[in-house]
Amino acid sequence: VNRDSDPEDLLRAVLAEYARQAPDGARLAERIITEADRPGSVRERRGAAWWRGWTLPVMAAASMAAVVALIVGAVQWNRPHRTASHPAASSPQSSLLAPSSGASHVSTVDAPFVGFRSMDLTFVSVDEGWTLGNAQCSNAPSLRCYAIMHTGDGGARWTAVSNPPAGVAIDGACATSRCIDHIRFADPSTGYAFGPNVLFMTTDGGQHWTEQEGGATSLEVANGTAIRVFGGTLQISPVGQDAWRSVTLPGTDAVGGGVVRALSRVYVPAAAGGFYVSPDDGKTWTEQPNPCGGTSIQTMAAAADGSLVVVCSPGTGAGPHLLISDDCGRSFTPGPGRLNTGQETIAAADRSTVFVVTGGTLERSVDHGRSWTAVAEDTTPGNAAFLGFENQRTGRWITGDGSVIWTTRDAGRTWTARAFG
Amino acid sequence: MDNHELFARFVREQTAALLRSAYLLTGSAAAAEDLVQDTLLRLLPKWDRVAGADVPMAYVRRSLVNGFLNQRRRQSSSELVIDELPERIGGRDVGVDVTNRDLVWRLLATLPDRQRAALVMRFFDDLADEEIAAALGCRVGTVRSLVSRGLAALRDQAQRERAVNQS
Repeated sequence: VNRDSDPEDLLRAVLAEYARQAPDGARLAERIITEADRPGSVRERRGAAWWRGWTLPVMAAASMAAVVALIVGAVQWNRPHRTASHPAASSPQSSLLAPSSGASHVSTVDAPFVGFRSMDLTFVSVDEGWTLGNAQCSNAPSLRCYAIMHTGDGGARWTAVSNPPAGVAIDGACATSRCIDHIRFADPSTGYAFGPNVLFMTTDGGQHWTEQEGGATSLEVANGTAIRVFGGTLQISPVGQDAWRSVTLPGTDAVGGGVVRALSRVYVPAAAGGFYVSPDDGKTWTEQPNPCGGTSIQTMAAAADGSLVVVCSPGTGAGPHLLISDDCGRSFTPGPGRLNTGQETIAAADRSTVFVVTGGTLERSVDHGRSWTAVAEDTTPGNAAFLGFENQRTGRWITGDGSVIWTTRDAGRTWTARAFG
Repeated sequence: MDNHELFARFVREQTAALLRSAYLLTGSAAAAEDLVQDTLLRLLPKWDRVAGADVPMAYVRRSLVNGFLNQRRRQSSSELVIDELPERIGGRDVGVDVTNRDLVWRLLATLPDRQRAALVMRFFDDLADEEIAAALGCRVGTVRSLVSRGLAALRDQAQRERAVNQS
């Protein structure tokens, strides 16, 4: 849509954008409720000019209002068990359950957008991270705009940063258009926002973005290198530079999935069926055969200790199963871990501590997937928009609808939830 | 649940949405807060009527727009006060040229109040002509006229401003 030539579309866009500058509704709501509670109060008004020009009839009306307020206040005053304050917003608490101990606290985050729904998450430390998502940008629920936010306190409070100048990405449906559906930061300054057809880089924490050539279906950063999958090939660049070059891989060079990496190890599925692995941040590569026997690799995840977790798709006579390697994929745990459907989202804190989200339940295994314990449950729609561990203790789970971020800081024993309002 | 509890619940759930509309109507954060606060507290004594409405939000929005129009009638100046724009937060996501966007926002402030209110309700709140007519206390045909004239005025003023800038 050429909004410059269509006044209706342009007007919708302008109104949606400027509506975001409206003040925080939560604070005003509490002020109004407090005001309504106060017997005979004189309301605090920010705009003194508002009252200018009001004459006697208005004063009389104000007096009447004061009398009404006095009566209402007196009624409230005499009502037993009345509480003066309430939770700041309708909480999704009722939809969140915590089947194991320690995951019962649900709080609402402080964020500048209404109805923010996270699509992706990246953290450079325990406390500092960014999230990409979409939010309601007008009173029409159907109109949503994408937004990037930054937190410096582990996710309790978020502030907006600039968006790269791309089209709108909603629900991650980013296959053909010029849009962004993922975000990764290497350090507090340098990060990437990308989709299959576009790639932007910032070197000032997200305040400004510059476009680089190509896009990325997958991009991971660590130890000074950025590695992406673009157009079915693997490419590498120093972090903070636009110096992408194709990686020469053993075999066909064609990759068959996204990059996963932890510590200095990098893994990427091969189109031919096995996977490529680099032990040194992409400098050298070897090819490993498909460990799934008669079935194929469905998903790969890198544990925070560098181990590799492979989900094998179900085959004839065998259900989906889990394999773990701690030697760069040369060998895998004997005795596969059990999975329910094979469609679970998977992550690992270390070679023995694995997590899956299935049916809205986060399960934890400490025996290579042989047995599982539910550690958090969320009945909001979907499974997971994101599940990952920054280190062996700290991990995050974004629920399938992007409305809640669960965080653990004890290797997944306990989880706390923060919901976007 | 008594009226006061219903009031508090509504305020917590709907204040943000009302504030966005009020901000677009008034162009000022302070004026928007005052408008929303005044509207809600004015309705408090008759909240049972609001709560009993088919769509309580429509009732409150009608009162909000009336409050805005009444306030504007009382003010001697016809100018709309626009806050200093805060640092933009990711405004480029809808792909609109910056010059056009700022121009439209400024021109919107110059429209007659009822035209601006009609445009906000149509293109931001996505209300039907009938709902806008109820909020403005006019006929559906008048709403269509307000919207049409508002858009035409925006287009004409934008062209004039561009011509001045080019000359």
